[in-house]
Amino acid sequence: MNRAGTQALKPEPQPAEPGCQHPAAALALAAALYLMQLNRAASQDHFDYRFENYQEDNGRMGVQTQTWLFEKTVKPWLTLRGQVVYDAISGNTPIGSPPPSQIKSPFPLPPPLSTSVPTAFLRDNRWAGEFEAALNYGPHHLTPQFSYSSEHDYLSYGAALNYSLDLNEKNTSLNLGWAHDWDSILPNGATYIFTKQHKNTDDILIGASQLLGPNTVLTFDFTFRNSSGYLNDPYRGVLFDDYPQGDPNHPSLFAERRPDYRECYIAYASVMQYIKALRGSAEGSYRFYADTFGIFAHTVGVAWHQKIGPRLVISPLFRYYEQSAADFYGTQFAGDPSNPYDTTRIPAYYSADYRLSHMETFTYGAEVSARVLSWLTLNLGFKRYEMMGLDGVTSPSAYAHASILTVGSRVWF
Amino acid sequence: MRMRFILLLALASGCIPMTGCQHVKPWQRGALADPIMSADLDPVGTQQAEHVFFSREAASGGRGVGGGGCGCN
Amino acid sequence: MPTLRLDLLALMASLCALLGSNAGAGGLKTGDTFPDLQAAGLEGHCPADLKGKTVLVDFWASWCGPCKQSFPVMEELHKQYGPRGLVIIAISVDQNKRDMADFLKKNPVSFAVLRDAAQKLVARVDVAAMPSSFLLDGQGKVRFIHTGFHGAETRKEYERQIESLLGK
Repeated sequence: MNRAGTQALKPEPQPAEPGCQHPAAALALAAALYLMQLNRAASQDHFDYRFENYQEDNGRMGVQTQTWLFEKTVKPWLTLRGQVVYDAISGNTPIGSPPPSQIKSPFPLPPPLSTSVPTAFLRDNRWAGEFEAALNYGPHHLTPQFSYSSEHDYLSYGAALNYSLDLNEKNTSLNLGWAHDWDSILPNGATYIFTKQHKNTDDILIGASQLLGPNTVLTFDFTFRNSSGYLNDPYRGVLFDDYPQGDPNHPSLFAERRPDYRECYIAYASVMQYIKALRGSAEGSYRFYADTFGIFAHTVGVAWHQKIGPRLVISPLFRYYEQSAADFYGTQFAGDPSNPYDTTRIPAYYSADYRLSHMETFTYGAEVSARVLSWLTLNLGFKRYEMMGLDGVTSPSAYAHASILTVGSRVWF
Repeated sequence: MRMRFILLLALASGCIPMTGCQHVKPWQRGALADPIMSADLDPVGTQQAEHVFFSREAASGGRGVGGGGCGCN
Repeated sequence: MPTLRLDLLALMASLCALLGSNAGAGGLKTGDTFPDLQAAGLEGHCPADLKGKTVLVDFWASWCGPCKQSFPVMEELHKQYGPRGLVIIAISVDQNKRDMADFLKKNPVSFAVLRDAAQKLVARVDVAAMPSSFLLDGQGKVRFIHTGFHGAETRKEYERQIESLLGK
C-alpha cells in the first residue's frame, strides 16, 4: 500500500524485547516480595499473575498479555495496589482501504481482484504500570492512582482520583471519580504523522451502589469524557475515488481526519443477584454510550457464577455490543484532496477505520476458577469475540473474529 | 448545563432504588460476602477483557475511571 | 462552569438525610445490661454461672474476613486470662451450620462457641459491624464495645480493658 503521493507505507518490524529484563517489572516484583514479608496475619492480600492470548482468525492481530498484580493492606487505613502489564502485539491489521475489487482504476485489470480489505503487518510491545493507594477513614474511601503506558509509537501518563462514601449502614455507596490522561503519539516510518502529537482526556464519573436486599446489589454510573488533540489513528488511511490509482492491490491512501475533540456520555447499570438454592449468582449489565462523533452504542452483558463443591466456580458469560457509525465514517470517499481542480466537496472529517462503522459484536465463553489450596487459586478461561458489520457496505473481511485464552493464578499471603 | 443534567440524573436514579429496598443489617451480609457476589471478582481479567473491547469498539468505559491509555485504538 | 441551583442542593441534602435515617442507632451502649444469654435461644452449651465474672461476648460469622484474624487472638486471651476468671463466649450468626463447623475446623479454639441461628440476639443487640464484641463486668453490664477487628491495635485494647476489669 502507499501513502498517496509519497513513499510506500511499510511498517518496520520491531524486534520483541526480552520479557523480564525491563526495570519496571523487576521493581514491581521486588516491591511485591518485600511487602509479602510484612504482617503475615492479613490473609486478604494477594499476588496475581495472568496470561491472555488474544488471536484473531486468518493471520490478523495476535496479542499475548501478561499481567502481574499485587494488593496489600499495610495499615488498617491503607491498602496498596500495583500492576505491571506486558503486551506482545503482532499481526495484520486493515490499512483503511476497501477491497481492491471496489477500487476504481483507469486501467482494465484481469480478474479476479481480491474482495478482502488490504492489511499491513504490525509488531509492537507495550509496557504499562499502575499504582494506587486506597485510603480508608470510616465511611470515606479515597484512592489516588497513577498509570503509565509505553509502546514505540504511543506514550501515556495517567492520574486518577476515586472517592466513595458508605451510607446507610453500608447499604448505599456513593462514588465519584476523575481521571486525566496525557498521551503522546509518536511518529515512525509507518505512520501518517511526522511529528509528535498530543492527546488529552478527562473522565468524570458519578455513581451509586445500592443493596436492594441481602442478596441483591444494584449499581448505576454516569461518566462524562472529553478528549482533545490528535484523535486520528496514525496508521489508517482513506481512499479517495478520484485519486489516480495504479495497482488496486496496493492502493494509495490519504491520512484520515477526525475531529480534534470528542465528548462522550455513558450511562451504566448493573445488577448482581445471589441465588442461594442454586449456589450461584447472576450478573447483568447494560451500558448506553453516545459521543460527538455521532456514535450511539448499546452493550448488554450477562454472566453466571456457579459454585461446584467447596473449591470450584464456573462462570459462563455472554456480551452483546452494537454501535452506530461515526458521522464521518465511510469505506471510500468521492473526490481528490490533492487535486485543486477537482470540484468535489471534500468532507471536513473522514475515516475508514472499520471500528467506527455500524457493527455489532458477540462475546461468549466461560471461565473456571479453582481454589486448589487455601492460599492458591488457579483459573482458566476461553472466549470467542466476533465482530460483524451491519451497514451492508463495509467488507465483512475487515471485521475481526478472535479466540481468547486466559490462564491465571492468585496467591494469598 | 451538562454537569447539572448529569448530577440530577445520578441523584434521581439513586432515589429510584430506595423504593422497595430491604435494609440489610451487618449480620445479614453473608451472601454479599460470598466471593461470587464480589463487585469485581477478577480485576485483572476484567481489565484484560475491557482492553480487548476498547481496542476493537468505538465505545469504552462506563464502569470506572482511571487505568491510563494506550495506542490500541 | 454551571452554578448549582439552591433547589438542586436541597434535593441532595434531603437525599442524604433520607439515606442517613436508617443508620443503626438503637444498638447496645456502654452501661447497658447485656441480654441474658441463657434465655436467648442460642445453639450450643452456654457457660452456666457468669455472675461476678468478666465476660467477652464476640459476634462473628464464617464469612467475615477479620473474624479469621480475631479467633487466634481470642484463643490467646483465653489462655492468658482464663485462669484469672475471664470467660470468652463467641456467638456465630451463621445461618448455615456447616459453614460455622468448617470455620471452626480451620480455626480451632477452646473457649465457648454458640450459634444465634435465628439471628435474634444479634438483632436485639444491633451490632454496627461484623465482628463486634462486648466486654461485660461482673454485673453483666457492658463496659467496652469493639466494632470490627483491627489486628494488633484491638489486641492491645483488649488486654488493657480486661486487665482493668479483672483487677477490680
